[in-house]
Amino acid sequence: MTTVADGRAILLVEDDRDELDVALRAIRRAGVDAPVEVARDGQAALELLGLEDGDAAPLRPRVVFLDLKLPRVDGWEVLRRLRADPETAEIPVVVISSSDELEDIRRSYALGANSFLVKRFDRGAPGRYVAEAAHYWLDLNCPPPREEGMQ
Amino acid sequence: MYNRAVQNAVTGRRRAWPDVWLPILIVVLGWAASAGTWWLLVTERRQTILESTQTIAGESSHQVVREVEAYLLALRDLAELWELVGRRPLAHWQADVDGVIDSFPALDFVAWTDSPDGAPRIRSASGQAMRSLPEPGPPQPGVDGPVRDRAGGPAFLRVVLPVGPRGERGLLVSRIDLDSLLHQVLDDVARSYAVRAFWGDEQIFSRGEASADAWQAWWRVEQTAALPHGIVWRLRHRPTPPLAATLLTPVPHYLLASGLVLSLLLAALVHQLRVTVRQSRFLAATNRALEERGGELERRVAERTRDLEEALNELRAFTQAISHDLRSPLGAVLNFTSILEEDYPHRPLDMEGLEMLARIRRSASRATALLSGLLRHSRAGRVTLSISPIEMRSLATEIFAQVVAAEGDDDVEFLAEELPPVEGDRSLLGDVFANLLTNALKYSRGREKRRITVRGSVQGDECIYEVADNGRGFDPRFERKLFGMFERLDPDDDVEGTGAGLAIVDRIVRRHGGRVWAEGRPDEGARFCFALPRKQEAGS
Repeated sequence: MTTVADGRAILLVEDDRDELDVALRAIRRAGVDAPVEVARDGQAALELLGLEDGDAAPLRPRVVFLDLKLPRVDGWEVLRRLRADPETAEIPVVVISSSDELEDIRRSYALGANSFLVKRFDRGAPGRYVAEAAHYWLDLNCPPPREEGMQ
Repeated sequence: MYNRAVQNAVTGRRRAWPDVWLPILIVVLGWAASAGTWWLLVTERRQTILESTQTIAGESSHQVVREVEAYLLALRDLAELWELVGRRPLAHWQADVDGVIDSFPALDFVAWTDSPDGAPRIRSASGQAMRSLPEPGPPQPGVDGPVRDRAGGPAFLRVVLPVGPRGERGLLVSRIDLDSLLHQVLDDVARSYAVRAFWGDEQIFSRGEASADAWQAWWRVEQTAALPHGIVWRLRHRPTPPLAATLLTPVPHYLLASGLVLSLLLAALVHQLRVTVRQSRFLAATNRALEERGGELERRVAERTRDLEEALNELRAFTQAISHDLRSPLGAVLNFTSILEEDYPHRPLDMEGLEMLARIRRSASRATALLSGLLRHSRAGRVTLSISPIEMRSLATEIFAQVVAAEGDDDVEFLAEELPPVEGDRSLLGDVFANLLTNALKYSRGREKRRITVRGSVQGDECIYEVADNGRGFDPRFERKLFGMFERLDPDDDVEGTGAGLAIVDRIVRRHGGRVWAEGRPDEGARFCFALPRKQEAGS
């Protein structure tokens, strides 16, 4: 199975165009030099990751930023499918939700999320938390070693 | 309901009278049967007693006749003997007489006379000295009686026989003591009976004491005894008290008494049974009532639980909507105002800045739309239904006109087929059509030959309605999600909407006791259906 040569790719799953633009702008501003793939709903995210019947080469991003409330297939379902497939089980997933409901947080971690961020609307630096998270997961965090890399 | 059922079982005004008459009937019938049986037994017993008494009386009469004949024969033999042997010493005659008297002790005396004045030549009485004849004057031949020496004295049968064909050798005169004779016979034959004998109107014999009970007079048996020489006696037999006591067994009386008592017992038993049956009926009715009540309570609990679950779901959906959906547009407003502040501190807005302003405005109006959707959804769940019969076709047509006017989009063919009328809340069902028709308009926009069709049919107890379009359709895998609050299948922004419409449709239809579903395929149009019960239950 071939994978996109994307050692530092970020998969951003977000349906709201405004949020998406703000996040992309913040990442660009922060100088994160990683390709950002965008999925506008859960179904599209699954297809990108090769978890749906899709012909494209599956994406293996360094980190997935996942919104919960999505059209068609919601974030939890994406997370569950991601973790269920051994090919994608170890990809770090950061849930980014506007909800700070304890039930939502608990459920996300139970399904295997690595982190949970509540969307912030800080004055002066909109979307900066996304850029900071990207910086952390791309530059500071050691990703799980890949089978292919070890051989 | 409970009270009425129990009351019916307990009092049962219609049953009050039979409760009394059945035991009474049993007592009456039981007593009648006992009395009848008693009467039969008593009659039977009387018959038996009468028959045995008659047998005894017949036997007595027979014996009496035989005995009297034997006496007369003995006397006649004596007379014939005297006629044959002729004259001889008186002592011989005396010996003959003594011999006869020895054998026939009831003979009072035997005498012989041949004198014209009737003075006897010999006279002999049983073991006694000779006596003179009791009657004065010459005796006449014959057998007659009863004769008495004094009024109330013992009665005798007098026998005067000629000695010789014409009495040429005198007359044999004798008397038979009837009391003695009858004692001799009856003591043997009718020992246990009180017997009285009558000759004509005169009582000639009496022995034993008859039972004194007046009501036992019926068992007196009178038998005639026809004697020689035209003499007729009447023998009257009655059982003596000891015999009566033996014959009159108390069995019928015992039977009668037990019959009466048993009837009473049976009546009491029947009454008790009926009481028991009534009590068990009462218990059964109570049980039924309690079960009904239990069922009703269970139903009510289930209903409440359903209501609570619905309320809880609404609350959860509300929380979700606030946390997830409402925050997004508000966040966008905050974000873009921040960006504007950051990027345009000292210079006028360029095209990009104006675009951001437009986005801010769009987000704010989206937040307003979401809030209003949320409120409409909530109201659809709370408002009291006002049920009336609805002409669904005219409603659909009317609503379509409103929707087209509101959307400013009339480039569409609208077909409203015949729709079955139904009972429901006209205003809410109008909202249903409004949401479905608006969706159909929105999701077919930009297509060739747009067509929206409304159809309906009756299937069983349900009226089924359908709004079909030939728009972009949807992936059937996500059919259920369509009806969730603020759920949208398309992230594209080219179709406006909050995703509240179908949730509201679902809610309104379920409040009418119906259900909703959708059918469709991508690019092949969509059909949104809802089914309503034909009749609304009162009070729902």
